[in-house]
Amino acid sequence: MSTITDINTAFPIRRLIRVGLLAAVALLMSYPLLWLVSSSFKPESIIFSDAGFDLNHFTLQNYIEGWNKLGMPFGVFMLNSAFICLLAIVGNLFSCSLAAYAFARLQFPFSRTAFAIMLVTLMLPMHVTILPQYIAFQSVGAVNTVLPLVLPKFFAVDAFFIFLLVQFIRGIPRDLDQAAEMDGCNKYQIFWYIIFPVCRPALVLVAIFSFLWTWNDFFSQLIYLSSAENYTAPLALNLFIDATSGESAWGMLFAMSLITLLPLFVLFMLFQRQLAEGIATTGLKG
Amino acid sequence: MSSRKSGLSLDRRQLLKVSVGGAVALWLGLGEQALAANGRMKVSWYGGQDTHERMQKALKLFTEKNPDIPTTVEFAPFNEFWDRLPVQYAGGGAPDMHRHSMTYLYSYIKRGLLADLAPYIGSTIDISQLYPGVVDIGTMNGKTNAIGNNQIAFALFYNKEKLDKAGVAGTLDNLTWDGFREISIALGKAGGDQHYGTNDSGGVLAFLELFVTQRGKSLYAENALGFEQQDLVDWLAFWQSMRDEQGAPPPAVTSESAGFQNAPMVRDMAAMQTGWCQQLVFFQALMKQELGIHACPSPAEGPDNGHLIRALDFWAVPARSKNVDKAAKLIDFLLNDEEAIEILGLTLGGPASDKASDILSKSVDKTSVMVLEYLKDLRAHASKKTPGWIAGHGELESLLKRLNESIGFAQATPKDAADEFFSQAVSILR
Repeated sequence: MSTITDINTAFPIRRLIRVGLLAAVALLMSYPLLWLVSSSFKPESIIFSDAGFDLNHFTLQNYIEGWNKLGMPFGVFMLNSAFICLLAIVGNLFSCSLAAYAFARLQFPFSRTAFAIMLVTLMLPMHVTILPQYIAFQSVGAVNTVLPLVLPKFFAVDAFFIFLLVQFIRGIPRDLDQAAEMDGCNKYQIFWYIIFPVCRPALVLVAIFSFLWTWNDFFSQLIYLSSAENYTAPLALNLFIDATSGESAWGMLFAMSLITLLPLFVLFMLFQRQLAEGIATTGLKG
Repeated sequence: MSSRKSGLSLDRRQLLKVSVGGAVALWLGLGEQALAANGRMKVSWYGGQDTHERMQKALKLFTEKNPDIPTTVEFAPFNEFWDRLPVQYAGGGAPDMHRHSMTYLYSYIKRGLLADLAPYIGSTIDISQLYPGVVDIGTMNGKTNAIGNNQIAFALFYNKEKLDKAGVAGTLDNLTWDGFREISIALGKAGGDQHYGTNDSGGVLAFLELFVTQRGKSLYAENALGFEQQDLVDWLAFWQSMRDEQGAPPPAVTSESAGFQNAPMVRDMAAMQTGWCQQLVFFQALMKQELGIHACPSPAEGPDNGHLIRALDFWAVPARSKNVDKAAKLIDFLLNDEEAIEILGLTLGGPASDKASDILSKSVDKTSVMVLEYLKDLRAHASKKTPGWIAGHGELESLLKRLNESIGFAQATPKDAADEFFSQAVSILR
């Protein structure tokens, strides 16, 4: 610790340059985001004609109008999104960890083959499965509900998460399992008392990624949710822009986009440490 | 220890129960709801927020007048609508009645996906007031698979102030192609550096269609192109001559002009813009200076000015729909009911009948009235034909756009580009 401060005080100019450079790059990278923020506070008419950051025309109009523009408050769409995300997280945590436990610890016939098949599904583009899946859900009348979006999550369809957890569980010393077995735990109890709690960093990662991917998902939500009151935030944002009819509410789109980004931002702030920890311990690092 | 253990194990069972039970409850609860919705007629369309609001209002009125036909609605912007619809058709969940676009209509008809509405025409669907082309354009081999919901035409928009300043305001009457070029160049030069006469429309297939129609040909004949290679060479060379002298912007500018808000005219880089007539309203909304609308250039002589007034959007019903009769009733309502016509305004396009035109000219704003007047005047001079587009039109459109661009970048001559277009068109239209 002391050596670091020594270096920093010894070469203040070098440090200044380094920090300045990093700040400049960070600013450059966040330019689109900053532009989004500043544009959301501008009147529609000057967003494109006046591309700078000047806030002389500061207005909250985009937020006020945009919130109710789509016939119902934008909060409805946010809640729809949040509901789907919540179920997706619960589903993934529950099913993927169980599946991963089975692959990593249990011995059953064809376990290696099953594992390989599971990995192959990782490479399967979603467009291959979407049609058969749609037909299945249509035939049970579940289209235009959240079921097609969340039910699969309870059956461990996200092979990536299973793989991630398998890698993590393989790193847990088997001594722990054996000790639990000595104490009389059966396989389920070993999972529940030993594996599941120890997996916490990886599970946090699964939860956060489930949230991110579900919150940002567009295509499957577009296919399955067809009536406006079931729309999620991304689908609702999409309604602001129609390329063919010319009436595009960019200002409101930006304002509502920013609101949609807020949960992600807060989440990242809260879980920044766990996220880094999870990535460092699950073998996700490069 | 043991008590703690049993407590936790209870938690686990609870968790299991909650997740499994929850999933089942969800399945049952929502499934029932979905089943309950099955008796309703599902109506769907694409468009912007204005279209969504007006259509919902019109449908509400329809349900008031027909309480025995409950409806549900679905809507999305154009691109997303067409991402979803094929999946719905394949999965059997297509809406009972929906808006269809000329871009895709013929591939849907060819695959037999749309119901024949001919039995309902004259009885349920009153077509006596509609313009003749409205039904013809969706009719093939005696089957009417789609009925137009509007009629529109191509047009030239102009910035009045800029035309006055350049002293060319009076020259729009009886505009010829040479005259169009002269005005464009004069306007570009009058504006100075980085200013052009009009947008580069060399890549607009609908405008090319107008050009070949004026030469007595058509865009398509059966399943092939309906014009000669030389026509396309002339067309592409015309636009190159525009770009050469500031009549039209270079391709670098054009490639940045997607979307109404980025059009050269809106960005104050051009004085004119071509487009579908109702787009005048969209452009005017983005600009302070007053816009005008005029017919596109045409040859000095000829039986008509080659403009086509026709439907580009339709109402269509899937062949598998169980509610075809109800859908037909709704189509009739949207086309003929006076209140519905007023509610819809120009959001779907120009009016489909004189009756609608009269109703609208009393109720819409000034710019929209200009569109109505334009269509009314045009009817006296336009071609009587209402040719449709065939499958592959969208692909040809992007091909033409790309080729026009490569001429602009001096990577190809008009001759090369026309060769390429014709050879590729063969495989696209096969």
